[in-house]
Amino acid sequence: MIYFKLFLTFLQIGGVSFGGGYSILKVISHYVVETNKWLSLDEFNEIVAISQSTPGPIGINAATFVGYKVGGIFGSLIATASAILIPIILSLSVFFLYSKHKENNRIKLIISKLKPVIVAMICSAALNFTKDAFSNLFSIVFTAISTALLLYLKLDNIFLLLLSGVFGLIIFK
Amino acid sequence: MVKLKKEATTVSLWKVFSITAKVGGVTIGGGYAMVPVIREEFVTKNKLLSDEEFTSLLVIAQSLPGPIAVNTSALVGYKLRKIQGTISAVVGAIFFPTLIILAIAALVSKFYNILSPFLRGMKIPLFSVLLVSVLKMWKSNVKDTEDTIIFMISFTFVSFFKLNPVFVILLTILYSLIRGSFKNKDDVKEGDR
Repeated sequence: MIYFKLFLTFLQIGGVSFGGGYSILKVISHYVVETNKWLSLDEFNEIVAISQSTPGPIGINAATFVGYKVGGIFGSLIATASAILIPIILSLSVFFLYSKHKENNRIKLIISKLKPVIVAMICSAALNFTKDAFSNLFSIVFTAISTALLLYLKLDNIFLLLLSGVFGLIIFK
Repeated sequence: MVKLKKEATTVSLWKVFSITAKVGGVTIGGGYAMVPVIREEFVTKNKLLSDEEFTSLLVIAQSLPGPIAVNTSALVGYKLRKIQGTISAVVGAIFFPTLIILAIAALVSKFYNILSPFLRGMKIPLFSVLLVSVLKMWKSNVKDTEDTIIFMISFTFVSFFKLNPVFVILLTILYSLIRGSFKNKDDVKEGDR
């Protein structure tokens, strides 16, 4: 049953969503695109673009959107709720432990070793977009310019995405 | 709202919900953008928590899986109104984002032909966005040879051998726990990865 599968999938995704939104994108695409083949990479990348430019955490936005595509409104609610279930339970559990121990070295150690993995996940998520970034001359130039702008001018991500959307309307019409 | 139930009940569930909903609805850019706004609302404006209390909750929220805004809301909610507070705060935090995504999802599927060039354009800079975020994170997250090896192994297996990232993360947690119990011998070989 699709709802149960959505629940299990996003429960796992949420359970390992360390290190902020970008790193979770690869985990979601692994399950949604590669394992379950619910969406094509193109469709998933569109969802990422939208999730980045609307309010809310990008991972949760993507979960909501994927859930909608796979199982309608009910599917989107299931995906959203299951993606945050384990994080909430863990937060509350650690809250109780923390107030007793004051400092939890074990968690600190785990996080320090997970950091390079998180960077690797984001790097890997970037590869999902190579086709979009390097498909034609326009996109190659645009990618080079936007990388430079992000690096040196600290351009806002969302502004850049919306701007490139407008360019898309002109170029890909 | 009935206010004379308990003297400990200083803040209504509706208040908790409306604060996180307000924050969630206006903050574009996800997690880290939301934290200062949550602090502003709960600590500075409404004086429901002290700055110290908020910071100690934030430390927990940061170090666990899950969006930091959701984790922080869950903890702040709990601190104020126990489990009901958690539910109100979390539902608040995701309320507008979920509604907005649902509206866009419905729009996109209805007007896909018109919107498709816009979406196609929007996808182009995401490679740069993610790449730049890797470059910015590199120094503080990949610190020594061991970290570099962990990075290379996880990147290669996840990207090119389609290994499940969940598996990689769980293995790393296991590795760090095993390594933690050999803390004295600091140069344990990376055997289990």
